[in-house]
Amino acid sequence: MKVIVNRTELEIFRGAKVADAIRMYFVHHKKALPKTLPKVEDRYGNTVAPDGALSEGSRLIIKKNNQ
Amino acid sequence: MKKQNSTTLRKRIGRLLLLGLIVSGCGIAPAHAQKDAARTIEILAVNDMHAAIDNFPRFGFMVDSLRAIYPDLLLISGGDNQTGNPVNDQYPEKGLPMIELMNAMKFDLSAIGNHEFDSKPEGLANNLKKAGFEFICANIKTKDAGKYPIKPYKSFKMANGLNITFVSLLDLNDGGIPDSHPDNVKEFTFNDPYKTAGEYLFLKDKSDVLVFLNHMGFENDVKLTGQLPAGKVDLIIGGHSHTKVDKEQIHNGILITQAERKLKYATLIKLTVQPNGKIEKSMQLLTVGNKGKERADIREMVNKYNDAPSLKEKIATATDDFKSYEEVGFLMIDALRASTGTDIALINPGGVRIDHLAKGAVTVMDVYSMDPFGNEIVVFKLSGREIKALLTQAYKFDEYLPIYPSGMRSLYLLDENNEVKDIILFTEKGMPLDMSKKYSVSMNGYMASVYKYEHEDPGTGLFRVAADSMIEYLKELQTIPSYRFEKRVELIR
Repeated sequence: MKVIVNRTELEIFRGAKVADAIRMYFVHHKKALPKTLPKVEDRYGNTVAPDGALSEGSRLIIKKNNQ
Repeated sequence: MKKQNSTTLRKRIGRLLLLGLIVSGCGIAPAHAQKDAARTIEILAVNDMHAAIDNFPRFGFMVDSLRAIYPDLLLISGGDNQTGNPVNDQYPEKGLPMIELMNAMKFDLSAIGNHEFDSKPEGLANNLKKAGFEFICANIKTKDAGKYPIKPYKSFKMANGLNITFVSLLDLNDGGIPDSHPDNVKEFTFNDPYKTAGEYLFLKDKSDVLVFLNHMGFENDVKLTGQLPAGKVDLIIGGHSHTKVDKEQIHNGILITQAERKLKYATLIKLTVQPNGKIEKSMQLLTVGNKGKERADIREMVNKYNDAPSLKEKIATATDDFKSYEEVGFLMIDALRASTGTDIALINPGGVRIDHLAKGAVTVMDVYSMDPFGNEIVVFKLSGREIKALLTQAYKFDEYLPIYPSGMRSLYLLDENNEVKDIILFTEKGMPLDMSKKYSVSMNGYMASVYKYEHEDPGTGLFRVAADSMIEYLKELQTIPSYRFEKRVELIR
């Protein structure tokens, strides 16, 4: 399924969770995986937990540490 | 002076009468007499509790405190009560601790979440039977309604005369089933939740308030609001995406709430029906957690579950000591391959958390020590060439440690800088692995998301936790062979 993290569209396995998509995003951009996952919001500004379910077209926004 | 006293007395009596009228309007008068006044329904909603039983004593105290203020408070779950704590998940009657705790808390209603099916058909039936509250889901069908008494909706008549109806919808993945292992849902059929929603809008004509109690994820709930006619649905209590909705989210006039997961929060919702039928909606996200005053009887129950012997009981016997990450890893990966029935299974070195396992009894807790991550299993169709690409990428990503395989062997040819020059793959019998052939390959969700290599199949999650599969495997295996001389990976410089 396709999900969008920040502005990057990622093809990820069906059943992936928020944490899976965030990890894939870091790898995709050749960034080191953070020890703790950053705060993540959905497109409506709600915080989502790392183990939250995703569906086709889900959009996530990684917040900077101080946000 | 006497006249002044008499006037004052009359005023006092008048005030008392007025107060009496106000009080009677607030709950003593019969319902039909209240239709001219605003009336409120209070709901405390949680979702995705995922067997967070350790937060129940605190939650119990909170609910009791709120019931002292709102005696007619409805306590509602948005589903996924199950899965996420071995104390509950490995209980002899799988999932029963959560059901018993929800009974003790006097839950009024629960949605069916995808993880309710994790208890497997017999376990789900048992949980439904033992629940003192109803489970609802409108887009599920079963031929055995006696075994699975799941209704599409549930109405409540409140003490103030208001009628409130809850309809529930469950998200389906592109396989047409909820996010659960297909074996767990084989006794059910599922209908499209968006189409199903329209079939139940008639309930608004019979109720003052119509609520969708969904397990669809927040974004899908928003999508649903866009397909509903205005004024039919008043509230969506959601779940599944573990979304923390801490400010009012109103879409197409419908308030959507969700309280993240694992009883960290609960949402207090107030729906005030005005005499003209207009409904004012408000919500407040309350912190639950596990700190603060507790309900003593719930604490006693939770302590009993946590002390249950089932986690410490022997599930298999190791015939030899395990003395390295590699040996433990081979056992784990053989379990994964056997439980998934895939051609090949792979595990990353970081996925094995202990490097020893003593000869003798192996317990459930030993398995959770090996794999404490709660990672779910993902299956891919990969060619030999794609497997090789995965292993090559993983070697560097995992700081120059190889992947542990089951169903194949690997020979790493390294240069003087420890970089991979080539990896040669073999079948278990020592024949070269076919680079063009597609193999079914299982791995954990972490591996499925962090290795960047060319592959056609994006993978399919099995919605089954790897550690739980291993427990089942070991229970069947009973006698664990020695892995002391097992060699599946060779590195040559």
